[in-house]
Amino acid sequence: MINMLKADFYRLVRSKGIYFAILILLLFIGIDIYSVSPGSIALHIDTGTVVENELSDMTRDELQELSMGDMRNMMLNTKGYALDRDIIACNINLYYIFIFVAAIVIAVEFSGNTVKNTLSSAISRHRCFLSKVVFVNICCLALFFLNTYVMYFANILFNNKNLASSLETITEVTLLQLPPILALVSILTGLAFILKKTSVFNTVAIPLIIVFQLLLSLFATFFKIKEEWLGFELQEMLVKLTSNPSDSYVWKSYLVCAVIIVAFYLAGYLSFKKTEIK
Amino acid sequence: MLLTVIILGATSSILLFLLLLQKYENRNIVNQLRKIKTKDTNVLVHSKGSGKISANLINEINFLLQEVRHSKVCYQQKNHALERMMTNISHDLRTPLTSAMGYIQIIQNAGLTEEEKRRELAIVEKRLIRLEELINSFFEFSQVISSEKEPEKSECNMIAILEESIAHYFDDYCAKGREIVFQYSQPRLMLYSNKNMLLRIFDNLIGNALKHGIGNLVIAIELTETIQITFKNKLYSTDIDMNHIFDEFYTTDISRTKGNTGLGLAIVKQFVEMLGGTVSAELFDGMLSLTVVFYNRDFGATDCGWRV
Amino acid sequence: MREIVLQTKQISKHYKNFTALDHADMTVYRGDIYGLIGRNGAGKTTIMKIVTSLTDKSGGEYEIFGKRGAEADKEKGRIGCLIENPAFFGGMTAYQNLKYYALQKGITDNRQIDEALALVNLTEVRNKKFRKFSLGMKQRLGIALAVMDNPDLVILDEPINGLDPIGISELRDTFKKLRSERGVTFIISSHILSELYMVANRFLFIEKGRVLKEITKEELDLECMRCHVVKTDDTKHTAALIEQELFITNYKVIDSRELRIYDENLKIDELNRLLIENGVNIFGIYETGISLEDYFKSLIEEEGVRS
Repeated sequence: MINMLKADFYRLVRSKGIYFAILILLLFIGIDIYSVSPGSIALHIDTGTVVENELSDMTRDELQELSMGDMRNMMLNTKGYALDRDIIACNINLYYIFIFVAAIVIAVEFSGNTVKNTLSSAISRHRCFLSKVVFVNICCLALFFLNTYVMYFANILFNNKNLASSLETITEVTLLQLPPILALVSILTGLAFILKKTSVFNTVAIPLIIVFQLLLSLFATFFKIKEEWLGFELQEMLVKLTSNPSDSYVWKSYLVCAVIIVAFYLAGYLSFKKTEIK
Repeated sequence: MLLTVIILGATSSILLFLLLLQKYENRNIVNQLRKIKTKDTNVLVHSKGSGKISANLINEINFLLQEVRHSKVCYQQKNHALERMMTNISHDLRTPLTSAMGYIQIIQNAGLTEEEKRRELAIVEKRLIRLEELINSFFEFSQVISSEKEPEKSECNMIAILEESIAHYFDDYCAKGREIVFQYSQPRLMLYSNKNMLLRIFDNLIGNALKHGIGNLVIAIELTETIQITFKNKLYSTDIDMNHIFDEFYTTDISRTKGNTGLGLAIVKQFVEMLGGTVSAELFDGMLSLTVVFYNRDFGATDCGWRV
Repeated sequence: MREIVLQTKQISKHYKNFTALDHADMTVYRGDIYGLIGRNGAGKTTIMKIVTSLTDKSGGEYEIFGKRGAEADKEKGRIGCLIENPAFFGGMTAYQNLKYYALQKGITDNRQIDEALALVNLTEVRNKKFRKFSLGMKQRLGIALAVMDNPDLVILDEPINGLDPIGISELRDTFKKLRSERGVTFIISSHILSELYMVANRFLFIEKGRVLKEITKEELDLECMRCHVVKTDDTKHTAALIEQELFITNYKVIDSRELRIYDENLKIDELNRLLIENGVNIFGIYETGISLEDYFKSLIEEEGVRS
């Protein structure tokens, strides 16, 4: 197992994709920090940010007309709020970074057929699967924590102190987000093992969140699903868990995450076990 | 306070992890060695992930494993060659012996005249001489392989030694209508070496050319940075495996009726190398060239290994 | 008895609409260079995939180094293989690709990578990216991977694909060297009979998933060698006659109806007269001696007739 992790790491640092992914990560952080407003690539179901409360004397339209620079100045002069917490609430963006990892570590091996080299030596399928899962998780978690702390320290550095929370709070919030992040990773890993070819994987994975959210809203509208249940969609989870969630919400959402994780890993493993290696 | 605890906790868990990893790796190496011991395999020991910690140990183990396997293969090959040699030698020794016995029988039983008896005895003598030759050859070679001693060295005149060797075979060549042509540019060429071994080397080379060659043998000795002696002659049969020409017991004549032991060139190679030189063979256009090269020992300003 | 490295017993592999392998039996001994000969789609690659557990068998058994089932999987470490097209990472160099797999297997000495590259003459291009490789170089890198980890059994699927004649000859020497120096066993598949003939000592002819014949090189030579085939109803009598009257000893009795004479000095008219005069019924006397391709074709035809 450790050998496989070392080997995949060796390959990862020699790929171009991972550096691209880290660059995009830093870019996201940069934009969020500079513009003092978090944003996410998802359907805007419920942000829960406090921004609008602060600047209630401006209308929404007027707010949107402001340039980024003006926005920034305005925000810096306000009473301040936990910007970093809100940025973390938008961690659904990390999903798109994780796609890089899953693609490089897993999908590329299927597209290029190199997986047969691994399987025909003394590594069984389940061990190979386990190693890849562990490796993808380690990488994604590393990126996740990197995201939090780089953002946190950049925020303190470039913005006012009043826009930052304490280190403990941030760490706590980050850790709370761990299960849904793991769930996201499991979805991508499972998909990679099921879909195999990089092109197919990318086509499915990239729009997945938005498409899923669309379908969910449609469902909600037509079938009148309780508002409360919408709160268990992954992006919602990431947001809600950053703003003092209730204990019952926490364990309920964790349960949903656990189910997702088990389901996708199982699906991925079964699919992998049965595949004919070309 | 909390920070100290966290740091301590992290450090100790890392240390614990490394310790466990090392234990795991050790156990893994032992298991692999146990399996390797029981099988005849090429597989080497693999690391299970501890990296630099045990990599050096594993490398040294693998080096030893490979050495052992290599020795085994060499031993098997030598053994195989020795077995072949035994079979060949016993056959070779038996042939002249049986033949001699046969003639003795004739002398004892049939009513032969004195003249005829003398003739038959002469043949018996020839057979026994041949037998002696073979036994000498065999023992000389086994001495060569087993000896550890450095050959004694003194100042030798290469030209003189070559001439002595040529003299050994002069009559044999004449009898076949062949000549030995000796090309050299100075009457003396000294080398710090062993006279007897040089003599055997040249004897074997000239004798080899007598048995396998046709036409004249040309011996050329040249002095450049090294001393180069070339033995060139046309071959009777060019069906020679140049890769194995210096191998012990390699002969082209399977039937062995020509009485080849296959040891001649092997002795040449062994002796030449023991004297610090090299020998090589080239087959071109039906001509076989065997080149012996000796290097001067001390290429210093004051004393040269050899002088003219 | 020589050690058996691989043995399959009635191995079958069925896909939804066709059968890739149909009760195949084969035995590979230690030190063999075993040639799998068959047309495209005959099942050569399928056998290789089953034995290296890239795919599951539908029926039958196989033993690797004397072990079967789950224990056989542990022995996979002693096998090196190149199956189908060589697959590597385009963005990495030859050295990096091999290093990736060396890390995976736990090889601690980087010199093994250099040795593998040297064995296939890829040392000059070790720092060239894989996507810039020619077909022959890709093939050679695949072979390098197969031999890198000091295996006892090397399985190669059409290794000479894309190699030039010098490369093929060098590869042949490499196989023989590995076999004599380290006792490595090879299983090589090809559809180029002449090349396989030069290097292998045992052969398996396979067609449409069925084994046509498993034969050693000596036996193959005998079958293909120029000879006279004599078909009679009493081969014993025939044998006695040709020995006593014609003084021919270089012959072989194939079965109760066929006898083959390898002696080139045979005069057919004499033989004919001799047999008839002694009351032996002759059903045919003809000269044969076939090329490998023709032998293979004849095996396929026989199989076609049988099924």
